[in-house]
Amino acid sequence: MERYVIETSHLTKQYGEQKSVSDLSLHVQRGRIYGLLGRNGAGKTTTMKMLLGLSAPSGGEVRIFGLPLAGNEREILPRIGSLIESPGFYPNLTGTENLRIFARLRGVTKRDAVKSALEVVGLPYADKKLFSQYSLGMKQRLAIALAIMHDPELLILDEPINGLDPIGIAEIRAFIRSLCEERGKTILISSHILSEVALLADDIGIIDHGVLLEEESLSELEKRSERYVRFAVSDTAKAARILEEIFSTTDFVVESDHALRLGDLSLRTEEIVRVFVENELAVSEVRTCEDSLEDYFRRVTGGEGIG
Amino acid sequence: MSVNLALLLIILALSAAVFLLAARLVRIKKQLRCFEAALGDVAAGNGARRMIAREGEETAGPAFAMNGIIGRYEEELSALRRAQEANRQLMTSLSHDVRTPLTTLIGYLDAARRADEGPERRKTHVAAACRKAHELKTYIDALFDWFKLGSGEYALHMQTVELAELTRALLADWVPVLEEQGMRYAVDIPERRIMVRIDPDGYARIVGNLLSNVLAHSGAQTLRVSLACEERRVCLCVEDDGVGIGKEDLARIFDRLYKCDKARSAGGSGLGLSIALGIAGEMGGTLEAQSEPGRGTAFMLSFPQTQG
Repeated sequence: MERYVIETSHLTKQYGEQKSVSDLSLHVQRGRIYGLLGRNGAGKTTTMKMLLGLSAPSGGEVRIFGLPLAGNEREILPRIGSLIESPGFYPNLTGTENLRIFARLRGVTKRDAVKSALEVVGLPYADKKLFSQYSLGMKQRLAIALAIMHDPELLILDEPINGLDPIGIAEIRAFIRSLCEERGKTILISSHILSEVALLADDIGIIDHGVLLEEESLSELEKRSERYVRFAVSDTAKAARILEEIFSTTDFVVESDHALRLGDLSLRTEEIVRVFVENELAVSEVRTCEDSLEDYFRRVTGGEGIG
Repeated sequence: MSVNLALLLIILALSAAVFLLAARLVRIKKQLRCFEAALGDVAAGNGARRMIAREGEETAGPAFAMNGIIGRYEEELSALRRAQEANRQLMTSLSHDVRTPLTTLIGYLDAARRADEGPERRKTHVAAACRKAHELKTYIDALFDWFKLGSGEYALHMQTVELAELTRALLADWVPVLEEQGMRYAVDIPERRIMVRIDPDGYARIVGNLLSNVLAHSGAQTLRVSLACEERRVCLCVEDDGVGIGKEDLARIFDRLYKCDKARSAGGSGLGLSIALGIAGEMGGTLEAQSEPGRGTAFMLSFPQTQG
């Protein structure tokens, strides 16, 4: 089985002189949630449209399920569920009727698929309300129901929490997590809200002005942005003893024979280095990491921040 | 003439029928090929793959049934994967929790071995190394107990005991420690006999854990221990007026290895409450916590009463 459910190489979309997506190489691993994080207008939606064959790339390639998308759409697209902008629902029909049409067109994977999908998103089944009378939140929920109704392996969701109230957001977040953890689905979501992505994604891709600036797992990013001072020393046993005996702190973690991470930021680094050296300890590296995750993103996107 | 027309019509009708049946057959064959590819994918390990059909088609029944089976198979696999991931995380944090104090211990011993150390300093270092070694042993012991509780192997010796007297005796042992740390305390235990069926050592362990948590983490001035009977149950309540525990943390304090921020730097294994909860459960009791940040925390340990 292929490792990457979605893989793009040097994907580019050019409108006249302007490149809205430029040389994008994205990698979404199976069974994980990938958060595409970027400001409004960064190129998230354009990228997703190319992944779904809704828009033709100007350059580069899209591979899904290990196959090139171009030429294999009939085999690939039925295995994907998507939510991009607003789906083409009929305003003069009810939500249930709308879903039934798509169920007939696309096919389903179990009995009463329409009823189950509506139940999951918290919309009533077989009621009389027309789509044109739906609130923004209800429209969003119906769109999500449409995306999951045929139980696809891969979900591509553009700003799925848009228009939902805080309780709805928490429900959808829990739902997306369970789709991934309990049902083994792969999910690509896009958002401009860092805090939401950080709660949900396993891997994060930061996109800005059409360029993928960084692609990394969330755990790795969090490690990089923890607050601590990192020392590389010649003998961690001696360093640990000194920290405990002379500086009276146990707020540190020994990483290896030569590396130590100190969590107590109240201690003065120069003082610690001086005592280390006085005790014949060679110090080869002192690194203070004080970024929060937000600071980190601000740096990566060139100082303008997210959202 | 009309015979020819009739014949033509019959042939047309038959052709149409054959054509429709053939189209149906082709469609079913195509679907079956799709299903075969999908099932091959599932066999290769992709449990998220499903087979699509329209409700009412001939192929729908078997397709939906197979999707159900694949779904259940995937759920079990996912549960397995989650358990493996949880184990992996456990192993990683355990390695840290053992490696850091062990490294410090080595540091103390290295210092004690130096030729230029005076006898006083050497004694201090050896004493510190000893302390660290004991701390590590306590931690490893707690770890073993925690594993045993998890696999149902923790040995309990259940007896019918009189809880009021047992609790008074336990608290008496703790009074010196409380007074040394300047903790004001109030004890409210009724005079009557309260009979329960528990393991006295397990009970002592839980009470010990609750009390040491108050001393180490609550920042409280006052501690109140009370025993109350309600219907057929008896409840031991350990309350403090300390910093309290936030709602987010409160939901997770019984999780293994979970430590609130303050506790992390103060040492401690993070296993204590998890073990306490496990022992309470094994004895047929319950352990719960309530807290209000800034006001204090209360832990409630309750058992069913028995006839003496």
